[in-house]
Amino acid sequence: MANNLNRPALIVVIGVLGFLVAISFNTTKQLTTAHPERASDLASVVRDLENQRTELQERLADLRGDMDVLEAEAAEDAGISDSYSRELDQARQAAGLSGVTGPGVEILLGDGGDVAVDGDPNDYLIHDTDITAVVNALVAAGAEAVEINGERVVATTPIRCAGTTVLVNSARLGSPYVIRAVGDPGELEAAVADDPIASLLFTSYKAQYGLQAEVTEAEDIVIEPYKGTFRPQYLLSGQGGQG
Amino acid sequence: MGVVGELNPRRKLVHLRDESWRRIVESEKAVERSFQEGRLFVSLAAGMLLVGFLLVGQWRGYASLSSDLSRQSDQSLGIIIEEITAENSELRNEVLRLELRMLEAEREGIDRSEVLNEAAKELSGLRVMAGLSAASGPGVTIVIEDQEKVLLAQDFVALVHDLRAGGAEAISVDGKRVIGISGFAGEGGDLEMDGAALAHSHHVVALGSPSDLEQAVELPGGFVSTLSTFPGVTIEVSQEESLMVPAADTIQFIYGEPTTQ
Amino acid sequence: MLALLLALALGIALGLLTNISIPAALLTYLGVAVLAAIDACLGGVKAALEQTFDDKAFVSGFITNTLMAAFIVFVGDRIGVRELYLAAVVAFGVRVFDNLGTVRSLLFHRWGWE
Repeated sequence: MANNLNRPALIVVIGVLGFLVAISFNTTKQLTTAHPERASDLASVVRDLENQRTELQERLADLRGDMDVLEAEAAEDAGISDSYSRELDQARQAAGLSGVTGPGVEILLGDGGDVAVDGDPNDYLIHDTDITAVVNALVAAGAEAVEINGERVVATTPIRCAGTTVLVNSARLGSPYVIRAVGDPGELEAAVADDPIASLLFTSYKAQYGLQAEVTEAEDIVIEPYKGTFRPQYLLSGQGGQG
Repeated sequence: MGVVGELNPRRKLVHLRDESWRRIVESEKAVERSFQEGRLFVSLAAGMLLVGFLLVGQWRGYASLSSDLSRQSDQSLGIIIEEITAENSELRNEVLRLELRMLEAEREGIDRSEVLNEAAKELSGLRVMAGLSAASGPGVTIVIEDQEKVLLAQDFVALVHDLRAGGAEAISVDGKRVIGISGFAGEGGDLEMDGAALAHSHHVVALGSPSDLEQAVELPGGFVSTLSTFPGVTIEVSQEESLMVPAADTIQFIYGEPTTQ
Repeated sequence: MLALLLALALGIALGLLTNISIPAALLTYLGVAVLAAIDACLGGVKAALEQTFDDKAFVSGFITNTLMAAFIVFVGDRIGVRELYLAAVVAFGVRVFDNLGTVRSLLFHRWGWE
């Protein structure tokens, strides 16, 4: 009964087929493990890079702490510890490398509800321009420190979109977005309500597209320090400046 | 199975086909019987149930969050990858630099002057980028004419973010330094930045890599292409070797209290 | 029947053990070639069951199928229609399922089921 199936040609060729399948498997396996840059799955490359970044940020924070101790000792030995640490603190605070606490506002922005039948899905999402409008309104009204989902906004912070995510510094943020700002709570809230572009999020866009948009005043806002670096590559230090 | 003798191959094949036909007819009758008995109904129902499960799984999988990486286009992922790679290499350099300094400091022993020298250099770099000192270096100047007064505060906000995305290390608008807490307000020709009125012809300076900066504002859909279409608006971007931006106004914390790390 | 399955398993095992791989750029070629090979083999199994198996037809069919599939991918890459390989996938895929159905009923018939 089995005779007509046991053709030597058939058997050999099926063996070859198995071999080809295995080669295919080997190749794919090699791509996604050994060489992340050539991985066919870009999403896993992004995840790897983000893990690396978190490790690097932690290592940097540790090193900075150690370095601080060393510098403080050196300053004390040289007798200039007071002025040195004052200058350093001032620079760090101005740059955004220190956390900040105080009264202020917390603003929640989130993507909207179900898209209407003939609606444009983009209208139901929070965009980078929405976030920049709110942040601008806050700082124009005197906010002293601003963060978005834990990313501190500093002098070199870009806020832009890549696909449907928002990139702040180099971090990928997704809805919902919590924007925290320290300052006079009443003035900050008024600034957002009066801003021609930002206010729309809390009124008509919210009603029409079901966006999440809330402003909450609080007495104890905590703002994260900036986790990146300030290493000028093109700048030469200028003369003058404030004391 | 029927009795099959030594038929020649052709006849065997025909016989097989006849057999198959007969079996098809017989199975059709069996189908009717089992249908009446409800067995087919049960297996059909099971099949539909499975399809239902699969449909829901597919539906749910498709409606995932906007931050789900697998739904992003390759181009967006590419942008993100470039960003994070650049950030990581900056972080790595900083880590190496600090580790080196620590090694040297430990070796220096009693002599702390090297440590202090390095610390002073770092401090000055930090002050410059934080806006506490004036800065100079290569970059771009952008001259914007707004005769019809159509530009909004939001347009300048967009410009600043475009420049930062292009790696700007220091920016000034109409002679005022732009830092993290600088905000634009006003519209219809009465623009102001941090409370100071801006004129109708604007002079923006950004320090950084001249080519990167120019590219960042001239991207399709970016600042230059969008705003050049407004009436009375002309924008001119030029790369320069040596520019200056002033220091920012004193940065004070009135409401907020910095926390030590 | 058993010999066929053993041959398949042996081929796969050999490939995995030697860990041979090809450059990533050629992955599509290999994938489509594998599909064409599956079609040829399944057609061979069907022919064997129907007693119409012919060594020459089978081997030449296998070779031309695989080469044709790879050629379609190649042309697609050259003329800028990268999705051209889909044509091969659909064509071979249809034949695979068609043959699979026939093989299944032939096997059931042979084993006395249904």
